[in-house]
Amino acid sequence: MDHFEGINFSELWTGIDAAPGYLKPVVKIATGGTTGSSLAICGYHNIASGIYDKVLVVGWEKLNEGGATTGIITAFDPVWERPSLAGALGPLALMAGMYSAKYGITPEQAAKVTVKNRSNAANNPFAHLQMPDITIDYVMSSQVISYPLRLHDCCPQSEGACALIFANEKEAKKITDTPAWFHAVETAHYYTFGTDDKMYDLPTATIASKKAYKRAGIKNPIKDLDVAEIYEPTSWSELSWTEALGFCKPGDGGKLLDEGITQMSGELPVNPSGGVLSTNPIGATALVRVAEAAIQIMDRGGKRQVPDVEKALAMGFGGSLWTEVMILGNEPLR
Amino acid sequence: MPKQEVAVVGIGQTKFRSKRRDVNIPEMIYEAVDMALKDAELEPGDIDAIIIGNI
Repeated sequence: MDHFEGINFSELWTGIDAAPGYLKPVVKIATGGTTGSSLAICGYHNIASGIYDKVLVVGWEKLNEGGATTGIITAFDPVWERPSLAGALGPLALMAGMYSAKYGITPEQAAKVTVKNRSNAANNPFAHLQMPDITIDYVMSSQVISYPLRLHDCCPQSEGACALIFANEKEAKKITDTPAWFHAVETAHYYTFGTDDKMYDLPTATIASKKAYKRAGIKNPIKDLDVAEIYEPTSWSELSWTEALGFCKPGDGGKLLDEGITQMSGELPVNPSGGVLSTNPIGATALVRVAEAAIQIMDRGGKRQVPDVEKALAMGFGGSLWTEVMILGNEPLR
Repeated sequence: MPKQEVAVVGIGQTKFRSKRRDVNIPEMIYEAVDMALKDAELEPGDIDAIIIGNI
């Protein structure tokens, strides 16, 4: 969107100059935090419908001539929401506070998510914040940004781009021996005035993931998925959203982490790439989730590779409490 | 049901940093695009359409 980068009609600069769009159809998509997953889903439909054989899907962010919070503030209702909920951190802090109060999740458990993800990021050469030696104390002694969020409970703002090529079956088999096949793509919208919302248990993640699991034949996500790349803007969100995605019961996100299930060595590693807490090029962030899920399926993850991945989940999350869920697999679903 | 199965066949990412002052916007995007094209061993002319976006 134009507010964020400080230039208008960015697709002229980016879709035709940087990506090879000259004399081709170029579609620009901007849906806030979900931009990257919306791009992927649009690319999916362009191939799945039979319209195109090969499309290039690109998400990017370079905010040094604009401002994310300035842009986000203009998206909120000026009377009811701007004073309390405008920007990204206000609602995320409220979500964390209410989630903590409801289920007794502790700041230590939240800090442990940052430690997990930023140590994972040290295995990802593309990641922004690679912190192999980060500790729980380091996270918990960082400055308060908006209670209960501390600096290191929050994702950074990153610059960079992600580009993926999608193809139909005939073309895919010519290009690679290890395509990462889409098994399901689902979007769920939900919006009420932020101040009326309960602000935890992300309902759109539950709705979208249930539909995606049904489509992909996944009965028990912990057992049937091999890896998940989820969109966690804060440490607290990862705990809450592992619940919303059905990896555990509501309120058990902290327990799931404490039992090591979401660690690299666990039954369902969550965010081997380091996740959003380590790298957040906003318009590319959710597309990076798809890229990293595909990398895991293709067995190209290097030091961040989870062994024997057959099914992976990628998630996008955005401003209107909107969730997109994709399941990828190593064979076509049929 | 999809008429065609769909797969990811090429992947490109730039390094992600707080500021990429070393490149302008099109240069930065082209880093990822070029990597994805090389990964799939495709030329720009092989691509049917572009889907692109930022927040």
